[in-house]
Amino acid sequence: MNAVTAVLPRPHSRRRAALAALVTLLVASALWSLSRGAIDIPATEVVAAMGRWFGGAAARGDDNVVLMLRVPRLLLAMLVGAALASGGATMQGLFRNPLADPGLIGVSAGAALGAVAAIVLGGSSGSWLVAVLAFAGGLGATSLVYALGRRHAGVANLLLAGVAVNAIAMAGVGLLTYMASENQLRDLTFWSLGSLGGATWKSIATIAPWILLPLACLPRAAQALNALLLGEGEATLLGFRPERLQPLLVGLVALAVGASVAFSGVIGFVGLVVPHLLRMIFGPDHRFLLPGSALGGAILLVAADALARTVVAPGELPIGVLTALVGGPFFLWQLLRRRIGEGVR
Amino acid sequence: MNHDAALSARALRVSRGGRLILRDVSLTAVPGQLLVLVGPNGAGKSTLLSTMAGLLEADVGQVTLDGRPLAAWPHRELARRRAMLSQRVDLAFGFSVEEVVGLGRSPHAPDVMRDDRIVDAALRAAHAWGLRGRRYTALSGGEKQRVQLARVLAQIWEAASTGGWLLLDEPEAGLDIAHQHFILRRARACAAAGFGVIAVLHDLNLAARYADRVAVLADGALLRHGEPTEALDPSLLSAIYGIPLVRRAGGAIDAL
Repeated sequence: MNAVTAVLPRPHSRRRAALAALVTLLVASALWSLSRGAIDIPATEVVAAMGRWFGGAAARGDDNVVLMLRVPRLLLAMLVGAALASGGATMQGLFRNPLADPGLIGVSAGAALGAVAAIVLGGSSGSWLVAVLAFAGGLGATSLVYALGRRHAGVANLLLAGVAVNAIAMAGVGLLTYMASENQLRDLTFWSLGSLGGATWKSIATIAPWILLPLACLPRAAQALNALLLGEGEATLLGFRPERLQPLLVGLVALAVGASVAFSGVIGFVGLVVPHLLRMIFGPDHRFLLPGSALGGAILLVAADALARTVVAPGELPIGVLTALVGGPFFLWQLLRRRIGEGVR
Repeated sequence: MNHDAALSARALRVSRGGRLILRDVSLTAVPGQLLVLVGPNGAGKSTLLSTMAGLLEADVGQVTLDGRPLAAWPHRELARRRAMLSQRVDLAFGFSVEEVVGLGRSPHAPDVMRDDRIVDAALRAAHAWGLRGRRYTALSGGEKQRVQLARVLAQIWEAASTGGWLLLDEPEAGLDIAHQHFILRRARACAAAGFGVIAVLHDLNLAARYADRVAVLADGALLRHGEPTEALDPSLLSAIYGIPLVRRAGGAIDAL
């Protein structure tokens, strides 16, 4: 009897297999993305180009297209997708609400205000000023939300403060949009629909630490987030310190999402949908959900970017439009399928 | 067993929103016994239990575990020593039953084999073995209560010999009569195994039948603490509940 119960299947091994599958999928979508574009380069040639680069051999043929244009863009897609999706998973756990998204703590709206101010008042669509002001705006708005929301214990106040700060920031965006010239409006629209077009090796080097540090830290909070799903009181009884964890997690998510929004504009849907989908299939355990979301977000954004570059080539669809356009119906389909499946049983 | 082993409230005063909820309550519980807190709604029973668990902080006075103030205990170490079953746990995420119970193991260093074994044992101990593999959100209220009991038991599973504490806040609420008696037998069994057990109960007859000691609270004050027959005095109870109560021939307490 005991021998039998000891080997009952547990979810651990299934989830390890799922993580391995996600890694494989990420590599496959990366190769696919590198080979697609204004000129199609076979995947074998992509691998050969990277081999020559690592080996220090001279560049040949389309090597520079791959190495100078597509690889940075691929890395940006991975970083941003991972940041948005794990940020979403963290916020959903912290707020105990599967519909929370990283924007709740004001980071996206604050970043939007910073970017719009740079474009309209700074008279610059130069990506560096926009990125710096967007990053600062995101962190500033989140700090404000946190300072207002912490006056009372519990996460509900944080949520309400976030709603208010979001509204104020968006009013500022609206006002600046009203003041903007025709050309500025075009830049504004482009930014607010999201784009990975600004990716260079330099921007990757700048953005990577802001995203990789939170990505490395968040999984350490996985068990605490699991306990928090039971409520702050239960988490405290289990030996965690929600009052300390909350500012830490908010700060980490603000860093990662702020950096993402600063370089790629507002790309909706990834932070909401990826963790939600993984949760529907594998359950809400954050020990799986956080690394799974990072991988899933990276896959989604890599694939979406490859499509965005090729569907209307030589033009380019705004990636934010594409993630919502493809992700939305897929999400609905999953939702309906699950509901019906549960209803029958 | 540690000679000073006890969970003690010392002159606790707690107020919330300008209202005094506990007035200078001192109460000591010892391992190996089931202490039941009774009293009318709003008497401060749950507040006392939460304060003794370290969940609420007293304005005046302190709670000590083995002579050491709760505030001086490292959080995780305290979590390995005492667990509390709350009145209601809202969990809207679709964990499996085993995962919910496994959360009770989070204060401990992870050890998959041992934790799985303890989760299984706790599920059996809480009469929740048959719920394995179910999604928590799809369970009935009484089933959820049993799963939460299993989680709480899993949290302090190895602590029986080292002075573990099990605090239960109205554990019988929402359970059918069979499970009400079951959960109190389980509480007694835990006490017999060496745990200190403190339970808030509404049902005076369950208190009379299962408690080693009973503490009667009303309006934030501890009125009596002693053997069940002594503490559950019909004239005292009639006064604090505001309806005439008598002890029937078989010992049952009933409205007149």
